[in-house]
Amino acid sequence: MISRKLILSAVMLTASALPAFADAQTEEYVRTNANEVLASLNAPGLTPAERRAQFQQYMDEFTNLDAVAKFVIGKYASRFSDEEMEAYLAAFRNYALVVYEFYFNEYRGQDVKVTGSIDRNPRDSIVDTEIVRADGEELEVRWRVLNRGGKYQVVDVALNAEGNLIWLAIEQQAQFLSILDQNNGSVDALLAKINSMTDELIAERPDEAS
Amino acid sequence: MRLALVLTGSVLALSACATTGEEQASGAVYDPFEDWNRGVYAFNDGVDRAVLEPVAKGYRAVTNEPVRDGVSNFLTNLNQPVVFANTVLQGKPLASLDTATRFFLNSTVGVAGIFDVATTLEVPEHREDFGQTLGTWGVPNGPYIVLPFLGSSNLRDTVGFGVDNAFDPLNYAQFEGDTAFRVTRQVAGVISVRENLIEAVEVLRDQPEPYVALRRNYTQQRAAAIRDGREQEDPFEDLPEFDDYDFGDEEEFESQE
Repeated sequence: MISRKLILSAVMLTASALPAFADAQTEEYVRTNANEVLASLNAPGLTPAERRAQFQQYMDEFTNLDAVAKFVIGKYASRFSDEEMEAYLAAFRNYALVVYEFYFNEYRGQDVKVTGSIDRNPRDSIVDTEIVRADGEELEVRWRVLNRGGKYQVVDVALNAEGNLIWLAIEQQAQFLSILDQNNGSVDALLAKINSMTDELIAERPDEAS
Repeated sequence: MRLALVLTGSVLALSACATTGEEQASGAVYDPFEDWNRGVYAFNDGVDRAVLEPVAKGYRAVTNEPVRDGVSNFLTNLNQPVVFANTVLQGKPLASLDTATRFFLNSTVGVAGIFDVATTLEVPEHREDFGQTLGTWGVPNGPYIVLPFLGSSNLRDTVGFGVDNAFDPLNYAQFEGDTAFRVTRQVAGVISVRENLIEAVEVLRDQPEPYVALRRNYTQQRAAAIRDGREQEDPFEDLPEFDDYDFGDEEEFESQE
């Protein structure tokens, strides 16, 4: 009887301790990886191409671009054929890497400080961070981290603009769905848009412009 | 300006019939006049690229930051009576006191509002307008409206804009050169605000769907302004879920549930 009680309370203790434990691990995950990603954009002694390759490698570990890609097309994810999906995932990956590089560049080499976290559930957490930008401006950035099969992955990032949380993937979803809705769900229209935006961003890169 | 008023009037008349059925929770914006709004958006974008953006960039090129800050401070100070009226209507006595103090300090020590002495003395600035006042009273947004020349709005904020103009004593005061003063104030206001938005508009134009991006951002920013910049009580409650099947090994996830 005693042993059963002990086991029960041990199980309950573990269960109640689990979220806090997950929290600390998720926070550490964001702290380590976000700092690595921002540092990779600042790596001295590398050519722009090498730096970019390193950044992309970190991004692949840190996020799940395919899951984000499917999320941002919402209901259309189940309507694309296999070939269409393959083409879309490839185009999205190129675009996302260029966009993230473009925006993260403003924070390159900066320190990401974890200020807290909340577990929405044991598999879905929000980690709060502060990043001081090169111009001294302090930004509140939140990272949504999913734990799937013991593997953490960032699926969305929010910026706090005067009390307004702007989640990048959610905003992107609203825009992509609008493009698809206006074009009768045409994959080609979406791909044309994504590819042209990718090209524009590449043309704006400081090392391409010179 | 008269054209803008006539168009605004017809938009208001149209939208008065359709102010219900908002979807706030999902972040979707109620936009029953989307086709019309997109037309006005394209028109405004054309005007902006042809006139406002070049003028704003020129203004930035020929002035330095202290000068631009002085212009912006001066214009902000002129608007404080309207802010004051709205803090009173929202029942925020501390904000009313701050606003009155700021107006007094900046109008005198700050040389007609050019220097923001009040901020140096840590008297907080409040940004209130009648659209926000209506929001705090529980008036819903109503349909999203893109106003010619003026840009993003909704039915509530369009009404608020009109009421704020009616609140503004400087729109009535009669003095020598009053018309020239009012025109200069409007023109300077547009240029100063647009200069401030140069980077933001560039980010907007880099978006896949700028119209949708601005519509959402405007609506969310206004909701945050009505909360006086505080976050929602449970900001993560309504976050959409990600599909487990997008993460690869399905069986493993199912066994975890």
